[in-house]
Amino acid sequence: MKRFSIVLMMLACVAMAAFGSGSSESASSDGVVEIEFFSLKPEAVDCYQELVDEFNAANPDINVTLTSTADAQTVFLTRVATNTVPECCYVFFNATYEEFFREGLFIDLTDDPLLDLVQPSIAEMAEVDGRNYSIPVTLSPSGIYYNKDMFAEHGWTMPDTYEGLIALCQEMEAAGIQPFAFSDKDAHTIGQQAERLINGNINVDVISKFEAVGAGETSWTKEPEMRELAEMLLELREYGPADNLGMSHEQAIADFVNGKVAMIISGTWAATTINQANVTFDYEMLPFPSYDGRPVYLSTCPDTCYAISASASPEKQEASRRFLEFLLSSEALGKWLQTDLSPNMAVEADYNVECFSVINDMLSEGAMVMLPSVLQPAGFRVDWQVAVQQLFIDHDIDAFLAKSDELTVDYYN
Amino acid sequence: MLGKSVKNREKYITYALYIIPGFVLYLCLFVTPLILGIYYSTFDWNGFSKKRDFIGLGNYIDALTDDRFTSAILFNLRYSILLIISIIVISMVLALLLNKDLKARGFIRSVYFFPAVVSMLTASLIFNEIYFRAIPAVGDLLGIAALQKSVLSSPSTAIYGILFVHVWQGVAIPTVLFLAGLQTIPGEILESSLIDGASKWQQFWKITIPYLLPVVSVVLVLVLRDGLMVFDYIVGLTDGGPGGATTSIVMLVYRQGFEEMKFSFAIAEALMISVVLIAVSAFQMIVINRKSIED
Repeated sequence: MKRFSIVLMMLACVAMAAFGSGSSESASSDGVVEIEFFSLKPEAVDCYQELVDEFNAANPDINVTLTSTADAQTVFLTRVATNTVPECCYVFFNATYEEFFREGLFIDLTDDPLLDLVQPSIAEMAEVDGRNYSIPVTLSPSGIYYNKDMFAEHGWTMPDTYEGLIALCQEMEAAGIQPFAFSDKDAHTIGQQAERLINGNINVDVISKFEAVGAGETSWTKEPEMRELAEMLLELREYGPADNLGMSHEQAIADFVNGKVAMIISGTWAATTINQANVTFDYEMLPFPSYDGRPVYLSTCPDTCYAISASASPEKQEASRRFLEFLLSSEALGKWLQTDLSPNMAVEADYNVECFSVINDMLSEGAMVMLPSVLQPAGFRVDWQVAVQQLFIDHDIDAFLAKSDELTVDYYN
Repeated sequence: MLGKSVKNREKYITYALYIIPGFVLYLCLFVTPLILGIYYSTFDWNGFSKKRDFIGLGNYIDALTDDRFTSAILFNLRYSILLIISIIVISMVLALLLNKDLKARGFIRSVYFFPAVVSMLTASLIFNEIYFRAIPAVGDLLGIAALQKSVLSSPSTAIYGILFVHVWQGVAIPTVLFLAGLQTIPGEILESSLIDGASKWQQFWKITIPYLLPVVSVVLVLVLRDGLMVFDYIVGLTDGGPGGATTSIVMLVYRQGFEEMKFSFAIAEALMISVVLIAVSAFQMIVINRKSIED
């Protein structure tokens, strides 16, 4: 009955936006400060509940209540629209959330000691107009997951170049193994893959090209990046399933862990699902190889971030600070790392996830670049990924370039 | 005379007291948001910003000239027509069969209702596997090219994949309604028609259908609403793809409101759809009521 929920949420948003509502209640009569911690990560509900219980037990003057719903993002946006932002929030870092920060919905943490609990590189990444409104903790780069046992059995190694990858795919096919599984039924996975390749492998400064195309100074038919991306994506599909547009993300992962395919392209977030699907499966993620001799960057953005509501009372803001301090302690991070394997940039984190060791080294060396969708107008990628999916249907690169031009101009103006 | 008037007044007060709670709730939860929705739809607003610019009918004009909106409307109309025809025909046939003295009628009545108790998400997950793995495996085995790919992977066939799951789940309630309608037909009328020499077809067309028209009217409204507001099945099966071919209006409103943060624009689209929904429902109810058994 999700459609009814949408209608009700839209109605609730409209009604509450008009009547207004705040979350500025102070401590309860018994002196205990009540705060709500809103999580946008439903899969981490058990971990967060355990941490909340632990914190509440150790801090009798504060009572944290966890809110974690299945459709957390929609609920959170509804809370924002109705001016009932929870005191302490798990937030993302993308164009929409950047707008929230600019609107002053969350407090400025630039000079807050909380920011010292994460590495400066990620703190710098999470700046909005030179200020920090959230505490970024993890990063979510993507790359190629490969089946280590299968590679070892055939004596294969992951090539450093794109040409080498294509040659390896041909070798796999000759050995009767399907190289890739592509979950092209799920448009959002196409969008994730396409934006990371065009930025991390084709042109590290592609965002300036988007801006130039958006300003009408040039077009994607004149600039090479979009065509190169289209050609690369289509060539890779030759080594994927015949029915790539019928395959979902879960089905791609199932084929990968069951040894039906050798590789999948996905982000660090897929590791938890892979582990749940097959606990004994041995795999590793490596960066997508160099395209045409160009340097390789991990296109990423802060993933797990924490923020404190600006509309909360000073008392509740202070209680939220204490709770976040706890979440960033080595003890809490140890538990968190059992739930989320993504590269963790908290100072106290003892990050030692073997399948991401190469990726983590690259991040530590600074070989990363901000994800385009964080810097693009909100909603651009949602529309653009449909155009990429259409490319897989008709293989018409010129039509794809024209559509990309149209969307870029549309969203940047 | 005076006593009767006082009694009437008391009666009306009692009626009013019963109506007031529901009326107040309706006023607060539906009428007020509707009015506020109309108000907010006249702004250029992202749903959270303190700043909003009044643009009058700008959102409505933009929506009407937006390709995505028009293609979503066309998708919904096509989908609704197919859904209405499929559900009414199948559920009526099922009801006619279940109304007969079949052996194991009780068992069949339980089995046909089973899909209705499965959650939409579960149904979508089941059919994702059937479409992607089971049917292509059969296609490979029999060498039938049309079955070798998922029905959801082509823009021209994906709508039928969604429709099938929707019909599979959606026939249960209309079948119950038709079954109830069939049981209101007086046995003596059917017997008289047989004595008068009416064929089975004439019986169905001249007696059964007129008696079922009020039920058809109810089912039509329910299924039309389902068709115009389809969302869950699409999210579970195609996410609006491939290439946006199955993006419905509700899905578009959701995306524009909650992903693209065009909140006022999404409200304007939702209001336009409400008007269409009300107009179509009113029209078909008037038409069917004119043809019903009371006439």
